[in-house]
Amino acid sequence: MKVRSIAANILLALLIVGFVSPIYWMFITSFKLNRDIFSLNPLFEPTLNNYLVFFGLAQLGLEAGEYMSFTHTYSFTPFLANSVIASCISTFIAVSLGAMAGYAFARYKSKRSDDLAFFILSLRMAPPILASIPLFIMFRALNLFDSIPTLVIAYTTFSLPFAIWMMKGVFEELPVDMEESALVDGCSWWEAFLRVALPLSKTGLAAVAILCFIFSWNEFLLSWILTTRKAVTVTVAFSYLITEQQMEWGPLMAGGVIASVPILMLSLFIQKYIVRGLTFGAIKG
Amino acid sequence: MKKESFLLIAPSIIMLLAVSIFPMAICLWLTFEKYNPLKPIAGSTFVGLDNLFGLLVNNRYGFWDRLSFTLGWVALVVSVEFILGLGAAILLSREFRGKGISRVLVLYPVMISPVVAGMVFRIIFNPALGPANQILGPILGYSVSWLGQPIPALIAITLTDIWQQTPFVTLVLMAGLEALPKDPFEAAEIDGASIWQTFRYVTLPLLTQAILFVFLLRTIFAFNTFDMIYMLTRGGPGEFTKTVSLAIWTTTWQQQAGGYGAAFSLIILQFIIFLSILFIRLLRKGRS
Repeated sequence: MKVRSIAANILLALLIVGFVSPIYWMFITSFKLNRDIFSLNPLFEPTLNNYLVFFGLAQLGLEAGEYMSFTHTYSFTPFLANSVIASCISTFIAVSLGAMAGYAFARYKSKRSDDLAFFILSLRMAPPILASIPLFIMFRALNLFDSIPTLVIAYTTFSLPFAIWMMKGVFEELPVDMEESALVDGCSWWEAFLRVALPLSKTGLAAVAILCFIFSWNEFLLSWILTTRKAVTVTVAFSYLITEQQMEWGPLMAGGVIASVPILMLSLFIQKYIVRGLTFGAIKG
Repeated sequence: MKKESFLLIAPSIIMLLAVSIFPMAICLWLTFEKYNPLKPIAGSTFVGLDNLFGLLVNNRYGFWDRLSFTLGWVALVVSVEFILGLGAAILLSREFRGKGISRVLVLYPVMISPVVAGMVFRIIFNPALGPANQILGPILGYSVSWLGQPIPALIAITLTDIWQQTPFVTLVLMAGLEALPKDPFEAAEIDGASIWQTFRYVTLPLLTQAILFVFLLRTIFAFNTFDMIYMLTRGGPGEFTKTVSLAIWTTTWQQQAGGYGAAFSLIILQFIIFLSILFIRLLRKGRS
């Protein structure tokens, strides 16, 4: 038994090393000078220059005295701002509409409303590439192409079905007694929803909001097709910097860290809800 | 339906009609049009079933090749991810020191953006100096052009997907394992079942539902994979690693055949609908 559990631990350690090492590689590369980028040596002279370059505060290689391969400075700050603004607005829309619809689906159940809820869930699974062509046409016709509203709407196409479906689950788990006594006390159904049910499910609501935010923040395909300059997001900007020519690996990895750290922190808060969220409520974590 | 439930659902329905149903209708309409996405939509012309016929019968834009490649690749990654993920889930659901931190570490690959994952693996598979070649080079005696040759490129996108999605399988199956009742396992132990027998005749049958969910969800999302492959190979070299999503993109935007792109995506949607219906059936059965 002892030998077996040691073997199991070694196997597990190997798996975890496999899962973690690419993230570790991204993290340390972001602190490396250009000349050390590919070095496997764990000892190197750390630098914050890549982060400065990422935010447009320095030019690549200047501080380190390395040869200058790029003469322009660029800054990721506007792309970060686009990502933050669009993801937040879309999350807000999805969660507010989703909470209302989810509440209705949970409290006024019927065979027909259930069918509708399942249909809405299935919209979440449609291939994003399918939506890209018609959304492109719509936004060009509406003169909204390459703007924040474009991104917000694009994100809402997948966030809203997700939020409705998940909020339905959250409200189904909430005992109905409190709302009923509120109704007896003379509250309207709207007040029972807004003043009683909603505050009582704020943990679930926060988890759904965080998941919507993460999906939007990570989104690439739609924002890439629907923007060209003004509304470029972080993920799209990354794709522009990956070219066949020499790549600025240091700043790119710094960008990867900046784009991932908020996501990783947020997912820690909602660890309990992640499995439920990723399986659309099929498996309760 | 009651008045209040109608009022609560209506805003969402209106929104979904605008951002989801209406675009799908446009896609359906485009399927029968010849449309160049770089020109105004008014310039499109009705071509009937030409697009669908071209794809399905004349294999235009490599439809059947892209579809069979995607099906094969999805089968490959989903089965590897399932086996590795189940193994990791079993190992992680034991009691051991450092369980909490291990679970957090497993979470990370799933949560980060596929674009960032693609970017990191682009460094790892860098042909000149990437870690993959630095480690494998001395063993193989030559350095592999990971993203420039067909088979290495296929290995690269497959490994990246496995890295990012195996933890998803692990997380879900771990949750499934923890929800299992304790009694059958105690009974198996009393009856003197071996570890393999316990796994085969107790764990697996009890876990069937979680396994089915994992399979369906992974298949659906693997089928839709775009971001990671775009970052690594853009479907190349040639068309070797081009999945259907990438093929729809090149057909529409590079070949400027929007009608074909729409028809292509509509056919792919049928696969997704089929898989989603299976998923929802299963979910509904579990609920009632």
